[in-house]
Amino acid sequence: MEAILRINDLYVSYFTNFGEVKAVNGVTLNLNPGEKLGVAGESGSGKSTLALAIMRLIRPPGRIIRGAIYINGKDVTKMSERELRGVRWKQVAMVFQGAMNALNPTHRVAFQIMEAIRIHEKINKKEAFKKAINLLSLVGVDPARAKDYPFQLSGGMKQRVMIAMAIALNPSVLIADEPTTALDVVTQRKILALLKELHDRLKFSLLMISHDIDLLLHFCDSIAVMYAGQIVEQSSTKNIVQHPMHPYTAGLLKARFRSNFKEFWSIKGSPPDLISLPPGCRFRPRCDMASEECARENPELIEVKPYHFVRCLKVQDAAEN
Amino acid sequence: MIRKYIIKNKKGVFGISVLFLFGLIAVLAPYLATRNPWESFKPNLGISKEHLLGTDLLGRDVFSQLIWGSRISLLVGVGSAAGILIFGSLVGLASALSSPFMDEILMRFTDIILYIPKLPLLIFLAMMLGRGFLNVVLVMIFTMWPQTARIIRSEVLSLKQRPFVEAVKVLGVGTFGLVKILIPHILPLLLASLTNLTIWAVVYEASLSFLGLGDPSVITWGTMLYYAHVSGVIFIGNYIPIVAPGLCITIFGVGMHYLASAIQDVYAQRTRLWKPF
Amino acid sequence: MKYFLRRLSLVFFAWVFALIILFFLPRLMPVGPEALLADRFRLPEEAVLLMRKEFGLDLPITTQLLRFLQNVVFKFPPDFGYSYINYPVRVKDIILSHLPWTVYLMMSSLMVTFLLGSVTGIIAAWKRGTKLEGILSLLAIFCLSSPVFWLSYILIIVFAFVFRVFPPAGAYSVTITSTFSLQFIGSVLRHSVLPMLAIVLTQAPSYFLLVRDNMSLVFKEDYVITAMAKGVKERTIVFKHVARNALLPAVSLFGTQVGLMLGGQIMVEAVFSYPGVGKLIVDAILGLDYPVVIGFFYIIITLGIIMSIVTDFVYIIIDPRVRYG
Repeated sequence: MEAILRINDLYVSYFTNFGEVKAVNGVTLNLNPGEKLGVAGESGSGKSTLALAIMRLIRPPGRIIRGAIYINGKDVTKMSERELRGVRWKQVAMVFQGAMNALNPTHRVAFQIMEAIRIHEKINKKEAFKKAINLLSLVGVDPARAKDYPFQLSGGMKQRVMIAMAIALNPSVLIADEPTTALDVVTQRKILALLKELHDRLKFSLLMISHDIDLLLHFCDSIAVMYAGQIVEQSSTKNIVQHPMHPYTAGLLKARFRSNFKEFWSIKGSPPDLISLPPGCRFRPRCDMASEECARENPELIEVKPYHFVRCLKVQDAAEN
Repeated sequence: MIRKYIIKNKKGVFGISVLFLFGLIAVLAPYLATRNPWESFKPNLGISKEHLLGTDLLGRDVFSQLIWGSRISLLVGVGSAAGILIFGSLVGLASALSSPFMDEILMRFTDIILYIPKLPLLIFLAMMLGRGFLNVVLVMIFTMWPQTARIIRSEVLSLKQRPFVEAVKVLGVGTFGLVKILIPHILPLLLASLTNLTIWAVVYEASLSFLGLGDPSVITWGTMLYYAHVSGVIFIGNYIPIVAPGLCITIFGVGMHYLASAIQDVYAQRTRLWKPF
Repeated sequence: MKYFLRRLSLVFFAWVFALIILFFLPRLMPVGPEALLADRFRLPEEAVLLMRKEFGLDLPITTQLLRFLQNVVFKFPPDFGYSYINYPVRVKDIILSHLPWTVYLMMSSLMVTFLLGSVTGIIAAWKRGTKLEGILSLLAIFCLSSPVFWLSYILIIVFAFVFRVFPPAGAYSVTITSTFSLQFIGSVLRHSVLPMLAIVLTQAPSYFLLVRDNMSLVFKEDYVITAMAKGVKERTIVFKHVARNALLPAVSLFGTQVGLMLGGQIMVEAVFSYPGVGKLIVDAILGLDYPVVIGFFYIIITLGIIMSIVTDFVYIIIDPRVRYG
């Protein structure tokens, strides 16, 4: 079964006055049809850059330096603007972070959904409006709110509108970038339930990005853990929870709230400066298992077990023996 | 790294060099001017080796006038700007840090002056005080200080809301100590105001002189324009006496503007390489 | 509502107070009205006495003050007496005859300034970093830094002397006698091009910079990425998504622009000998025509106060907190 989204050795950097910020350093990732893949990582790990890159939304001073992104078999990095117009929103759509500012404050909600539809389909305003109303009901927003402006809606409702807009053209791939951040816990649950329902019904493949690993563990089929612009571990959710291999993954899992709320634990140190990355393994300064060998070369991402990829010399050495 | 960033900033470099160049010209005027600017030669000569920019209707060397004129123009410009800034920021600071009642009174007072359009007020006051470039400086300070006071006051007021000010007050530093602490925070605003006020002052000195309210016994870029206007030299076809001093004022303004923009960039640490699409 | 009425009465008294100060102003000048009549016009004794009577200067100061207030506060249009320079023309007549020209020039300049500045600002922000934007920005800053009277002269030199396309002075050609003929209107339009250009070139850069900078900020907003992701065309994003949000400060600048433009207006009228209020006031101040000066400042002060009341009123309507608070 061909993966519907294939990212091959992708490199994305921002060329600022302070130097080259290497946001994405060689990411290889596959999303299979119908799969729910979660990308976990701290702020600054490059997750959002990755999401934007998939849709070719990286703006100067940022640039895709190297690599390929295959959507439904075609390489997006080599496409012209016209070709991209056939891909964007039709084959891959995005639900943006926070929906706080992702909706234009001077346009009515229905208009924004209609705009998405009418760019790609030749239908008149009336038809588009009807479709927009249907989509709003589908995501659980009262159609009477269709003519409201974004500031009149609550955070949860805005996120629903964002979702309605994203599924409007029935894309094959849906990218959700921090879809529940900035929402209260109850609303978070509701939005996740909505996403699950839509996923079951419309059968799109979902790439969900979040810094909340708990959320991803409960929602997704597989997890990819990102650190300093690279994938350091990728496997099915079950494997990740039961046998986390990379020390960073282990740390993330350990850092979740303990059920008895007595202990707070955090991974020591802080994420590296993406302008001046240390040589060797990027995680080494914060790793308890690190050795001299780790300082010399940055390990490759290797499949040490069936569908379990890890980027760690220690783990790879142990697996060989 | 920051220094490299400043040098890379083309606008800032341009601004500083303009300022530096004009300042240098002003200081070295006696050595740079080829002729005595008051002496009359043959009128309406064109550009030549003896008279680099020709002569005006009275036969005076335009180039030398320009060189000497830079002195007073810049002096009045920078002096007025400094005066406005000092007086205005003192009032603004005092108003923001004192009781709301005092603040209200001071602001009403500044509002009265702010209501009146600047040029008519300038002209009126200049008439009252009479000619002389010191009067010009005084008149300009009186007209512009309210604007600066308002700007400084609103900045200080918003700073007052910040948590660190509360914290410092609790430590009991007193008003003077508070001012000392606030100064680095309002410094970019002060610098920006200074450059803007300098531009303003140079242009308005020229405006007043142009209308005949300046000091005719002194040569400034403004009085050069006044003579060019009054003597009607452009009707004869000699455009240089009008073009040259105005061009100097404009280039000076452009330089200062870029300087102000560069200062802002440094403080905001803006990435110049950003593009929308 | 009570708040509003209280404010209005306060403002009224402030206005009267300002007028009283205005009344005393000429008498504070180095050359007061009395001395003026005697020295300036170099009239013989009997004539001076007659003039004093005409201008009401022979009455005690309190009577003069009361008469002044009576004429200014309770009459509309207010009566400031005779102009010194243009005697026997009354101040209000002379101001009214000059007013239309200034209003015409100012209104048309305002429109063009706003449009030109905003549109170029939008384009400059769109093409940020390109040569076009660099040239536009440089031109804008150059025009902004030029003294408006100098720029006027440059325009005159280029377009009136070198190229002879537009007339260098006046509001209309003096050879045309009948007003409201097509010829006359054409002449008026031709004569207003250069003055308007001078004002527009010096004022538009403010809008240009404001719009350009604000657009650049708005471009960084998340909803622009949303629009790009949806596949909205570049041009549509610029005008429908970004400009809509970014033009707001330009519109509020537009509201306050009139006061700022007055200075430029005056200089332009002086250079082009345009018969508007600006030229009038310059001549009046330089010629020590006090009644005209007072009349002029009256207009300014009253207009300013009316504007502030109107804005207060608008705020009250818009913001319910003020209504009930």
